[in-house]
Amino acid sequence: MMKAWNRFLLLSLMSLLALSCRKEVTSWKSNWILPLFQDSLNLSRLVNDTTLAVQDGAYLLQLERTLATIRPGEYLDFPDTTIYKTFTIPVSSLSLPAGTSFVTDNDDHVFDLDDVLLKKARLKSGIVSLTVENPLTTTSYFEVILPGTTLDGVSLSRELSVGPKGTSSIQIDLSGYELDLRGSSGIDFNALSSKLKVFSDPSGPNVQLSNTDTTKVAITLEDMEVDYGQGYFGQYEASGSYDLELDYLKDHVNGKLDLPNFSLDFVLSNSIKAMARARLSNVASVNTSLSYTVPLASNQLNQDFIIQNATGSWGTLTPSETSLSFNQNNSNIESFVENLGDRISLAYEVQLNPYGNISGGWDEFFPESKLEVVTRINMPLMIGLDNFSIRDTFDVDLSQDLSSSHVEQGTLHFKIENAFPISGDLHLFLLDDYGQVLFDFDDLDIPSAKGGALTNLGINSLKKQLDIPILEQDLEKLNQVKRMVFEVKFNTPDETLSFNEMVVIPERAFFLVKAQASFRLKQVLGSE
Amino acid sequence: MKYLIATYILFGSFWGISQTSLPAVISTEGSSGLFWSEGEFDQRTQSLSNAFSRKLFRGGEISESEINKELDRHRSLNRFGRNYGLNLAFVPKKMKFFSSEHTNWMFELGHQSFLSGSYAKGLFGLAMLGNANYLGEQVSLAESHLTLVDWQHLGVGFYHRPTGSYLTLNVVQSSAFASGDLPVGAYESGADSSWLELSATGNVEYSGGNFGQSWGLSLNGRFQYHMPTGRFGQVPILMEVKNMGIVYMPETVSYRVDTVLRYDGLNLDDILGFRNANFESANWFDTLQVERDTTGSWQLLPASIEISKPLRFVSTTPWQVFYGVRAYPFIRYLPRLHVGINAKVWSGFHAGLVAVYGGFGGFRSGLYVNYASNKLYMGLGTEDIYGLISGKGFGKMLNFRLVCAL
Repeated sequence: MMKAWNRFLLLSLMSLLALSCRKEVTSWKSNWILPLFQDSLNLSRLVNDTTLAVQDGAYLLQLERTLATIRPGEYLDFPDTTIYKTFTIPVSSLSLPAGTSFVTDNDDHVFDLDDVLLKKARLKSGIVSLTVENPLTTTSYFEVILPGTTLDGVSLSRELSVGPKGTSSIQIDLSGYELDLRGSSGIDFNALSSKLKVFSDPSGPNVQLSNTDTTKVAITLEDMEVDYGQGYFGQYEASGSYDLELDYLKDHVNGKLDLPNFSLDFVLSNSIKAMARARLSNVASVNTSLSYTVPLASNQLNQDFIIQNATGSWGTLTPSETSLSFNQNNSNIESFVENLGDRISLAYEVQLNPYGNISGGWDEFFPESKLEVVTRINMPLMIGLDNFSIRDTFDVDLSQDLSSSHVEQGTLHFKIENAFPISGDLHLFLLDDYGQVLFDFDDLDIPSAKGGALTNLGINSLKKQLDIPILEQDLEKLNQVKRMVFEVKFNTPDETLSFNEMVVIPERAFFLVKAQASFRLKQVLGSE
Repeated sequence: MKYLIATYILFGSFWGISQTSLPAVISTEGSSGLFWSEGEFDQRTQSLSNAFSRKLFRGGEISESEINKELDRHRSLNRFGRNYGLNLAFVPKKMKFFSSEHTNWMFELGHQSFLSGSYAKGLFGLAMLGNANYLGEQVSLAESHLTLVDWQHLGVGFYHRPTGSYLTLNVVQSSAFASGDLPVGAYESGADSSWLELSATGNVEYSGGNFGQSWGLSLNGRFQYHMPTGRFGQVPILMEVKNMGIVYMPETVSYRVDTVLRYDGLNLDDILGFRNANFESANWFDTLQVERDTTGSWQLLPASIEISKPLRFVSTTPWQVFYGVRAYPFIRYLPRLHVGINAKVWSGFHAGLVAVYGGFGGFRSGLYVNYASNKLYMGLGTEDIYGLISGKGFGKMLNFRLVCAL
């Protein structure tokens, strides 16, 4: 039997060896053409209320950005508050018949709101928690009423039944509740009135209460945010600075930009029914590339401006606006703009009620009320560019594993149609880790539409194809590429293409790009 | 005459088992124990030459002219397959099956790898030449499919010595499973290559990995029947069933796609969106509308059924004809037909010719030689002699059988 098994195993091994095989690298080459990018770039997507508008077939820059916003609900901070109340009887012992009230309390709680004096408020959110402790050996009933806290005109009221010597708690969401903060007298401010009544079980037995038995009540108000208020809002002050980053100008390295006259407005808008004061200062155009800053010079800066209170009420609120307008006649706005600052910085101060409580406590704010500083730029989109150059650097990794499937050679094809009256001269560098130029692609000119043919859109355009070849012998070098630098030089040539002029950017101007890659792929199965 | 009948009963059962190019002969006279080993390697395509397949699977640089030559030969849909394995069986001499006089216990083990599929001509052209050759054309990828299973089995059963019939129940362990089906599929591009479109409805499932994770059961068996034919006496008919079983794959990853995807390049919004894009594969699957799922699944093994008319070992004529058909009922497979002629060359030596059609490929022909003595049988054969020796053939097939009486 053993002999048979040995023969079995030997034959098994021989059979397995017979099926073993060898594997080497397989490779072949295939040719591919793929679309990479296809889009028509135009300014229509920027035509909206705050960036661009169209006027007489040409674009108008209408840039509007909000620099600062102050909402009363955000600075009117109702502190989280817990009102503790304890009650004992003044005599040593008392027998309480069924249903006898042994605690009655009416009180006003005054919120500490600094110099703000509120008569009314509406809560956007908030929670009140009631915790009560029964001193009796029978059930007692706690009736808590907040008469000035109403929802749809109904006061907040809760009755809690608490077992012998027990405690009980409830939480109530105060969202939407209105607070009458005039207290029980009706003439106070920031005062929330409360009423409490505690009585023994009407259907229970008589019960004994001594002066060592304490009735406890805790009312906790927390997370309160208001979206409506009436009263005096104090002399709230805010100040800060704002930087408007214009990243697309950051890469500007050379050349000149000529812009037509335009206006820069700062609009101070007040939709609070309280007077405000504002001051703008330190407005500057910062060109970080050239480390040069042009401050805006105007006698409107560093001055206090009064912004009248808004008018109207619920649904009819009308903001009050005060504008500071800077133009060539009252400021150095032209040099300010043509500094091509990639950052516009400014400082601001605002203050409510600069003259104190002159409204007699009738300041008012609504859910949409705010104090805003807005900048508006109005300019026909007309531009003159004279070798205006931008440059940017990207990290790229074009390396391939040449021992596995890889692109052997190829060409990037760019089909371009330019309908902007701007020409571009693109220069592309591919650098290694040490900044050495490995590839230098120039002669990538994009001609201005000025020299082109009339399209059915009624504007000129010019077509061109650009090809960037990658040769097989460049593969090793391509593996070393770590950065790509592109530099574009823009000009706005005239009809004769001999000198640059101011040009209007026509409506419907577009820049069409179709990019394709054709390449030869060496496909490798296994590894070399 | 009595001797002839007895010899036929004892020996005839080994003729014509599933490896059609290699009928077996053995003398088990005076012996009731057996060991046999069968191995087969069959790699076949309907349209790819051996020279091309050799480079593709075993290494080498394939030129464009070679690819074009192969492509010209392709049909719209092309079958291919590969089947290799080794099976060892052992019938211990003294281990009677429950004291049965004519039946012994039988043990077997083996490894099998089965790959079968078909692919569209366009799929081959795109993969090998790229899409530059198909600008402005629609290329059908439909009806492509693939089945791949690797498994090992270990079984026990009984062997009926007078007829050679047997039945074994096997424990099966699968080391790889993959299945793909693309009933609908097409690739199209614009004449200026400004757009590409891929439509696909199909699914892919796969599972595999660590040994011992996927278990199942299968049945192997062979049954002999003597069909009365009147004038010609009784004609033996063999029916052989292999790998009739299922395997449970605890982690089967499946992808289903039913989409038409048109791509004409990225646009500016795409590029700006990439800054914040999450490049997890799930996002791409969403884009391609691919549904992914991982579940346990039961998978059928590629069971085969072969019915054949084997040779008579004790024939009074030097020439005999054999024929048969093999099918894989649970997968897409063109039934394979074979017909052959056997010649007794010399004492103990036989040789034969066989013609085959279907299966993984088209028509091919082969030959075999074998030697049989009372205690030993050795045989070697191929069903594609042209493919075995020529790079212009469309596959390679070789099998062997070694049987020892114990």
